Amino acid sequence: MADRDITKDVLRMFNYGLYVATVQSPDGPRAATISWVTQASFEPRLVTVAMRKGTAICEVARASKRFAIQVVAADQTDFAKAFFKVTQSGPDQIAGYHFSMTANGLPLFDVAAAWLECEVVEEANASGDHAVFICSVLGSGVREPARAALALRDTSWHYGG
Amino acid sequence: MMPEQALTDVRSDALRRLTSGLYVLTTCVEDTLHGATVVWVTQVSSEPLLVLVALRRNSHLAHAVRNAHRFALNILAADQEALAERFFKHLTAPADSTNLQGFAYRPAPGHCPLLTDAMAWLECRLAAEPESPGDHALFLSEVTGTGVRRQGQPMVLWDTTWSYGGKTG
Repeated sequence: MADRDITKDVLRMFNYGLYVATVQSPDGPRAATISWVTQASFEPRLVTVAMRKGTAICEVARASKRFAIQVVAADQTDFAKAFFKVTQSGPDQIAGYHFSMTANGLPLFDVAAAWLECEVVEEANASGDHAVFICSVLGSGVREPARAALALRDTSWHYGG
Repeated sequence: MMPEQALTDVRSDALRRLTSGLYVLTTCVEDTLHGATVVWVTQVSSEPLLVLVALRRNSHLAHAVRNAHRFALNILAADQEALAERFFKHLTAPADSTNLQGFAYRPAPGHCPLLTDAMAWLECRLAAEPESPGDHALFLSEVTGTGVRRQGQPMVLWDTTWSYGGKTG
């Protein structure tokens, strides 16, 4: 087996962005910050998104087959930080961030600089501690094309899973 | 609802906001070494340690990984664009070569060639190829070996002049 400490160092050299995932659950909207996201196909356009099994966001994504991911911009570290933990939500806000519902029924934050609305087409990674959702892109948008995305590397955070 | 969507196909723009690195994937199948630059790589589990790599479904590289059941990811430093660019094309060499098309390597425990110029490496065993309707095959893989040669800033795709057009796999 690989040395876990060295492995951790190497895995931290991988590059990730930060994304706020949102779902609409029967109990209302939920949001969580995630980072293990990558594109997985051009035609059709697919992304893979990993979410820790057993978390509310993962379970709702699995049940509803839908979620949005909002790209955290370079100057939005507070936006990412707001959803590290379970947060309070209301009919039009989560952790104080206002959202509106998209035509696909997903909460989309006003501050999102770019986003993808995802539909789960397959789930993989039965043996891992995160579900891997293979998703088609239902919708997307870029509000501010010039705005750079926040790279996990440029923050003081690591995601070890 | 979103006026931006009417102007251009913004899907590709939003997808380009996903942050990616650049890695040289290497493997060894029988008597041939293989290497190519890949972009769509992510960790997907901590316990056990699993990574997911997407490779163009019918590429020689994808077939090589299927045959070898293992591969290494060589992590490039921010200033190694020339190395990344050389491997945009899938390169091969006989397994008894002392180098991979001019790049020095040493074999990993699982026999994948590790580029000695890379900052760090992971060697992985193919665990599953999950179903996906996409044009890239997904390789879910267990990390079996690892090493850091030197510290530094890894290469980030959007700091380069390139974007992934899906053909490097």
